[in-house]
Amino acid sequence: MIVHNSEMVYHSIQKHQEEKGVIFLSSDEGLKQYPGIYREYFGTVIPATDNKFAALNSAVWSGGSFVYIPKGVKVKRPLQAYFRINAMNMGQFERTLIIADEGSEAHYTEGCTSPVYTEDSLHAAVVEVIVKKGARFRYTTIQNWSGDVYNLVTKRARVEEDAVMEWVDGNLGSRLTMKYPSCFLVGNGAHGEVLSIAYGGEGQHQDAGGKMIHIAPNTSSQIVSKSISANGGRTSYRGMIAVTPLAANAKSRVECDALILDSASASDTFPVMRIDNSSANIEHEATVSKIGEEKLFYLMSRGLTEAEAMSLIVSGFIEPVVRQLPLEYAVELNRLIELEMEGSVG
Amino acid sequence: MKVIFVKLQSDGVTTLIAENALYVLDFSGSKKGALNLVFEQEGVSAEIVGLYAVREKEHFDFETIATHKAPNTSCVTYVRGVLFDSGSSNYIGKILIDKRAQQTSSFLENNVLVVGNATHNNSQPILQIEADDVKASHGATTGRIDPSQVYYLQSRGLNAKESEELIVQGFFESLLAKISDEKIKSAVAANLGIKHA
Repeated sequence: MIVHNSEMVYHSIQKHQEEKGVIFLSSDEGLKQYPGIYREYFGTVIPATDNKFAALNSAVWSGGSFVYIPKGVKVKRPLQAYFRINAMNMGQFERTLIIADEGSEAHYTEGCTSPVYTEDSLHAAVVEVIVKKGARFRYTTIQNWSGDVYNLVTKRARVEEDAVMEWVDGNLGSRLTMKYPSCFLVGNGAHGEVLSIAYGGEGQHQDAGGKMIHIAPNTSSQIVSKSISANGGRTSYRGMIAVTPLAANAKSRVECDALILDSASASDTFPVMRIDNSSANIEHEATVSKIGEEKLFYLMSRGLTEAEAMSLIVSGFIEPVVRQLPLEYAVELNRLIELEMEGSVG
Repeated sequence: MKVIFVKLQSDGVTTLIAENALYVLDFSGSKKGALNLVFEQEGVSAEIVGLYAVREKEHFDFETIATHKAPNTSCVTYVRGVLFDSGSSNYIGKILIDKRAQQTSSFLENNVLVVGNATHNNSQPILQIEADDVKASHGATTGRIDPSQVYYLQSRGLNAKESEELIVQGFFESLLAKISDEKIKSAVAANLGIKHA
């Protein structure tokens, strides 16, 4: 499915998936064809009053995806969507609603790009995911907006009993990104994960991270964030782990690593851990460093140029997240970072 | 290493210029406050140690800041707390590295051991790094006392309360051992309500 500015321009779904009852439409089409499902779920995870961008989105949304995976259906191939902004001063208000019914499994991927204009565009998406009992859902985004796009996105999943939700989030482009995919772990044994990569280049600020709200007992979560800042860019990790008094035996692990490639660039880490339960087990770890001289020296002694060596070290640094991507996305992400890094070595 | 005992002020931030010393937080007066240790001189290396035990219905609310403004400085911050029944704590641990402060290394470790029930803990370890040739990291954990450790000690003849006390003592011991000034060490141990070797 392809969404241009905010309108769907191309759509196709494999026949055998359709036969199993899988619904994959643009959200406008979805609303027309399945008003009942919208009435039941729309705005239940992210209400219009959540924040001002959610309010704006709820008022003017168009485009986005609507996905419904019926009970027990396992979709092997990723459902793919592609979003493009092709106009100046454009606002894109994508609204996505995904329901993975009991015991289902699916993987949704989206790519986002836009050409460069000198004036600012806004991408204010709202993505709601409901993962029902025993279901497993993965949502992958690779975002490569041009340097004039403000990317302010609210993404949140409601994860029920024994269900698993995974956010895989790659942020390369845009002038400013503020995006913290969240999981509300509301069912016993629910599990949430965020894997995040951010690359902050010239004139960019990538403010990304994740939130895990443990509401039910025996819930677990993990956030792994890798960020790279170069050519005067800034990356920030902002995250929250909250464990409520009802969430006995919660477990959470957060790891965030940042690489700073030159002296003009900067990096921040702002985690919050709010633990209101005495049985929780919470770990958080963060490191910030530059590329080790020894590593560079070693690779250069093996015949690589400085630029090649740096690019290889960066690929290794983000590898734990890239490994989780479908092959074509992994290749694309590595290539994009190589392109971004070209000329970053004086 | 020289040991400096820092009394927290409940209102506002206590700002000190860092020297080669170990800074120990004194919670005997206020359980609130903030220490800002500013590294203005090149080559200075310091450590901060904050140890606290939150007894019934008490609340600790404090902040440490390592502000690196000069090159080649290093800081290690250790903050350890134990939460007993209905205890709550709020800790912010900042590492700020200025553009000028190249070749800095700064590390922060925050461990909270939960012994009681109905406890609340809020930890915010923050890094703000403007220089590139640095090493900065932090680790924070909040975890319940290990029941297998309690069980082991009980199997050796201690009762549940004694076992917990011994584990709490062990939790603080390695950091207490850093304090070479006996008077300050005894004061910290007394404030924690534990015995020390």
